[in-house]
Amino acid sequence: MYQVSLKDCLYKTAFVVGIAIFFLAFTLGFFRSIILHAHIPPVGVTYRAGIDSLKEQRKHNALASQLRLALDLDLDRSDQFNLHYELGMLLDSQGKQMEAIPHLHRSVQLNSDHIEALNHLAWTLATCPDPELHRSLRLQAVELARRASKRLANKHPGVLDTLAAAHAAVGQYELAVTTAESALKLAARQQADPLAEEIRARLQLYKASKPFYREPQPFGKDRPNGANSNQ
Amino acid sequence: MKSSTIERDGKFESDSRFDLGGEFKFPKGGNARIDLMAKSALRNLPASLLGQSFVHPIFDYMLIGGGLSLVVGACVLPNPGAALTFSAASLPYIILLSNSAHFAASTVRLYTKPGAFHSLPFVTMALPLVSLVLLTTCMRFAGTLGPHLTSLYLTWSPYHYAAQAYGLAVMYCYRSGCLLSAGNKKLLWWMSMLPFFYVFATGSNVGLHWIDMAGWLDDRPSIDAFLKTFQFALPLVGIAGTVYLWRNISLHQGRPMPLISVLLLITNAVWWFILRPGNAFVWATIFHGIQYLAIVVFFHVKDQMGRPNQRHSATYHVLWFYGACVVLGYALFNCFPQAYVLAGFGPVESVLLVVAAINIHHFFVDAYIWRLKRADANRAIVDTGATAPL
Repeated sequence: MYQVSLKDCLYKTAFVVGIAIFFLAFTLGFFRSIILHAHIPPVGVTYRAGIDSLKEQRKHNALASQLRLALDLDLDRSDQFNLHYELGMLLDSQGKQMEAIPHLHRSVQLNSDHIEALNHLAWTLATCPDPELHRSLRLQAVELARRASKRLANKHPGVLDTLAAAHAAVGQYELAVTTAESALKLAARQQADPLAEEIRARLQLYKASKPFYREPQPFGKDRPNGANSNQ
Repeated sequence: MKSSTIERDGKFESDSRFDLGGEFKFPKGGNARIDLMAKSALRNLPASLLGQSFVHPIFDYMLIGGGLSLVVGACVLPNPGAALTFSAASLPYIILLSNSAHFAASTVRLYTKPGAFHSLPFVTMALPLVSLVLLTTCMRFAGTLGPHLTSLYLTWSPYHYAAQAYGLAVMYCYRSGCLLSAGNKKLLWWMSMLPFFYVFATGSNVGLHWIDMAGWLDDRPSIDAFLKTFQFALPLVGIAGTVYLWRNISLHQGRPMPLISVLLLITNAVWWFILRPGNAFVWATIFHGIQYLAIVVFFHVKDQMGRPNQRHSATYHVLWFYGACVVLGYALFNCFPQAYVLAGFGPVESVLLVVAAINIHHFFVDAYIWRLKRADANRAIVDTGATAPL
């Protein structure tokens, strides 16, 4: 008799505590959304808004761990391209090219028509300063940059700049010089002065038979060759 | 005519879901009795095929049977760009009104079902807190526990849908006076489960591929080839098995299986066999939600209308129950994750793990609230309007 009463008592306590936490959570969640965003929680809420918020706040480490977690947990695959691409770009900007490459590669596998992703992977493979990067991957950079440039009718100075860097990375300096010169002409014609300046500096390296390896760039800014514009 | 399994056994097997009580006696009288039933059923073949509806044949076939999903699917699938396709803007609202409301419906039903606190003390009183603790633990260790929680719910989902199709098919058979033998019931269960086996064997990150964390299957081309053959063969087994089952019941049970029971198997099979996995989860969740809401609202209204001193109309109870489901669905899926973010968890685990936990809680609760034992309130509702075996 005593045991039954104790069990009932435990059940009732658990019920009261559980329901109280649920109501508190619903209320806090509701008002948090109103206070922060001046609207009720949107229907069909996703984690995307939270990821964008971390990006805006430039909390890069938290962003990287959230993107990694999303790749593990979001099994419906609808957002896989963006997750891999964003994580690849973020790691690349932090100077972790060797970690970035598999994610950029996967993003290209998921969407081979995405010129930005093609160009970014090619750029990372071509300009990664790590000597451990296999030559076959550098050669792949040439193929990827060529494919991206062809899609833009060889009229994009940023993508041609990537192609030049890729040629230089595999020791094809003559091709690197001619491609960089074409990129320079296009950049000048389009009055893209900062890009033209960068290409000019790299051109000097190619003429001296040296590849271009880059330093990490802040995440969220245009990539050095500006290839994420004019898509 | 052969003697049926029912006749030998004299009683039905008990189901874990839609439990028919395990004591439903088959009418005495042997083969002559079955012959009489067969003649009676044949005389009234269209009605026997149509089965005994809960609301109206059109309502039952379209919403509970899932016929609506076949109609919409037939319109949308040949032309994915058609206006009938859900737009990105409207999809969240459609999901709220169907799927989110359906998840909430099991909870609303649990707490409004007469005698639930007494008969299900753990589920009604302790489960909310237990779920909260487990969910928060998974949140805390999202990197290690989170993927397993997600895979668990995605593996359980097709089983849950298959079990619902089976339970409803048995319920319609029972209501329509089509008494299933133990053997036929087992076969019906296997046919219902085929879509689950299909997803279990072939889905990525679910079922076999979830259990095989070491990637053993991926390293063996022979297993891969076997699974591809399995994937191809299973729909064919489903078609052949369902035709055999229907014929077997018609020949040996004295009454044909109502077509709505067959429709329930077909719609669940179409969701998983024909649609691509990504689409299957969206479509199945929407139409399974509608199916679930239709049947649960019916049970709720019957319960409420049967209460002494009740003064409201059936429409009031329908609107009250559905409104409560939508509000709770909104709170669970849209407010609850915000609370976890407020508590310091990341947006990814707050949204995705809450969704996984709500799913699992729903599957768990659902396994209890649909019992049809003799003492259960559900049993009286299923019995209401049921066609007598003869």
